[in-house]
Amino acid sequence: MTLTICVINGKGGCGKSTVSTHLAAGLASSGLQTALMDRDRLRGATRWHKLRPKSAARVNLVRWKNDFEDIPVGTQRIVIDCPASLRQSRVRELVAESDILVVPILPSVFDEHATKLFLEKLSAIKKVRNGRKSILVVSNRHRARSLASQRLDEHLRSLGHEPFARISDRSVYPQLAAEGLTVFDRQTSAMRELQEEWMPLIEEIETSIRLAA
Amino acid sequence: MIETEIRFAVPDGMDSSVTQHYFAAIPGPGEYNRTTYFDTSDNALWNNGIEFRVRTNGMKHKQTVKTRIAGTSSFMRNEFEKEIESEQPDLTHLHSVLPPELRSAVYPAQFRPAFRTEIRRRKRIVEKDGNTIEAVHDRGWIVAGRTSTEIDEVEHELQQGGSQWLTDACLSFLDAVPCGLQTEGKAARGFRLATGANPVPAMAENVFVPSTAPLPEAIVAMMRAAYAQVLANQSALLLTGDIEAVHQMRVGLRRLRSVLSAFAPVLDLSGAPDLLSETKALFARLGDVREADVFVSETIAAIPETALDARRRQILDREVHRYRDRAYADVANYVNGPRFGRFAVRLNGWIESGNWLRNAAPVDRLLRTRPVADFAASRLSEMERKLIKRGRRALKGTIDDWHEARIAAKKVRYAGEPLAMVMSPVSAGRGKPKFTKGLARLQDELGVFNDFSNVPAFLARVRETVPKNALGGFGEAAAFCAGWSTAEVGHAVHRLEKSWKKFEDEKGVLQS
Repeated sequence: MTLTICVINGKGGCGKSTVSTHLAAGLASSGLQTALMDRDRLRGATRWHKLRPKSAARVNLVRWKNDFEDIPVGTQRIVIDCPASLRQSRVRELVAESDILVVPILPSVFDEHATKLFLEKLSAIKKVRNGRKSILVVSNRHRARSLASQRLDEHLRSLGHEPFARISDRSVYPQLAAEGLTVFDRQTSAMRELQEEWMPLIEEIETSIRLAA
Repeated sequence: MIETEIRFAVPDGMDSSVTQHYFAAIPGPGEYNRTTYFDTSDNALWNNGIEFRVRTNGMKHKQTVKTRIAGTSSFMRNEFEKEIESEQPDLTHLHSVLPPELRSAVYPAQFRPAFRTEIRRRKRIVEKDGNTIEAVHDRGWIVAGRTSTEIDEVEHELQQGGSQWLTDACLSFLDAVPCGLQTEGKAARGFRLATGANPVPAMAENVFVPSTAPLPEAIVAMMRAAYAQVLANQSALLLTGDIEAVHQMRVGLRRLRSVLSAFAPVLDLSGAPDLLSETKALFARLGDVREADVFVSETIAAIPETALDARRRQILDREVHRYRDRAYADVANYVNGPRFGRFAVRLNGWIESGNWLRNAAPVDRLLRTRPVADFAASRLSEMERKLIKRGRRALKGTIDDWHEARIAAKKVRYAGEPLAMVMSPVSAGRGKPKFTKGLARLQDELGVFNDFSNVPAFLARVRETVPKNALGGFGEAAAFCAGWSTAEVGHAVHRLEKSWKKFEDEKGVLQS
């Protein structure tokens, strides 16, 4: 059974590629046949995939054509790195066809406002409005003690979207990305602490998928 | 109530060691009890895995009904007990605890005593960190009509705590009293005595695992079934000399190893390297007997009479028979001994512990709830891809490449079996999956290829056991066989090329 996770936010620079690549690598590390589809015109996920060493958990990059035709047989999870916009009709279709929507957000007043508008737009899509999809919000570059992060938490709570994961603001993320890696590809105690931050999101995705099946 | 109990046969001369380990503070020979086992005239209860007995201890009478629990550890059973007034069984109690499907099969029926046991029992409760086991030493007789057989065994029953505690207690006992595992209970031995029947080799039982079962649940069910088959062949192997018991014990071990191979990506076997090497060593021991048996029953017969004269054929036949009998005796000695006892206890403890599931990284937590079918399909196709790659390479390659292809085919066939069983709700729980005829044919050919390839090495092993005065004749026959088998390997490869093409034409390893 192939299930699709769409990583999307109308605001650029909120960490969609970081979240997409980590979800793909995390799911692949757990033994699932995982594909990553790069829909962002900046092709960040594609570049990451090119750098990815063969020894790392295998993530298949799906080249975008007009349909899902390039997806390898047996793929169990597809993670889509979406563009920062819902304007294209194909992106709206992707959202409608996906099983789960993951929305990364940064702790800044600009992102809070943009995300609020974006979540409203998402809700306008029929299948989302019907409650047939889970929307999982991720607080990215989170700093537990910072006022901005605390305000973001409150803001999301007021919108009815408690974040499923709070991903720390660490310099290791860009360093790993430069090698085509993620925190799931290094098994040190420090990396495992960071992996733990992703687990509520990944566990929620897997639970939602099981319940939907 | 669920009873978990592991039993060991105490060899002659070990009673004082048992006393020293458990009963030093308990004087005397123990309490006397008499137990009568009841059944219908055609043993309908026992034939359905149910034990029905009344134990008399002084003026007290206790009725016990024990039933098997599908899918649990080999050492677990349901136990229903009731204090009763006399030695006459309480059939209402029996009726109330029988599985519903059996009630109509055994009622109305006359129950009669099938046999009895007369035992002196010493008993001690052993406690540690809130865990409790009951250690019992039974000495006495099973009596059926005019025949009887002796009992001298120690039982360990888990009363409170985890399976690890039972494992630890058994291993500590085995350290002090090296003895063998007694897989047959008193009931099994009593019914054999009463009916005069020999134990029979135990075939693989179907494993019922739904495709939605979480990975650990599915894996443990498969491992338990394979382990149960290994133990279930102990008696037949020891008491009948039936080569089929050796084969079926080996099948049980192969199924266990297949589960480990099939689920390797989600397993962490680093905690049990010695246990796994012991499994492999036992598999090889049993394989040695099997290989000798195949040689005497099939390989020698395949050599044309015109090619090997009667005298050399006779020498070969005699020496390989002798080798097989010795290998069988070695296996029996091992299976009856303390090393197998330890192995069986540790293996059971490891299976029940669940410590084999990968759990080092946080993402490994997902494995605990992942439906087995989500893993099985991709794993089977991965193994299939590997087989195709190896086979294509062998078509243009060497004998060694065919051996690689043979190993890949074996993996698909054996390790693929537990995966295929759970891949879809349709196949789940419906017994063995059906592989394509092409794969079956290919595997048969690969088996023949391997048998011929192994002839020189096998005969070299046999040669080491041949008496000096027979070495000359045996050497000539063996040299001929080695040459003949080498030629046969060439023919087998030719047939393999055809079988491979048919296999690839079928596109897939499972029948749709």
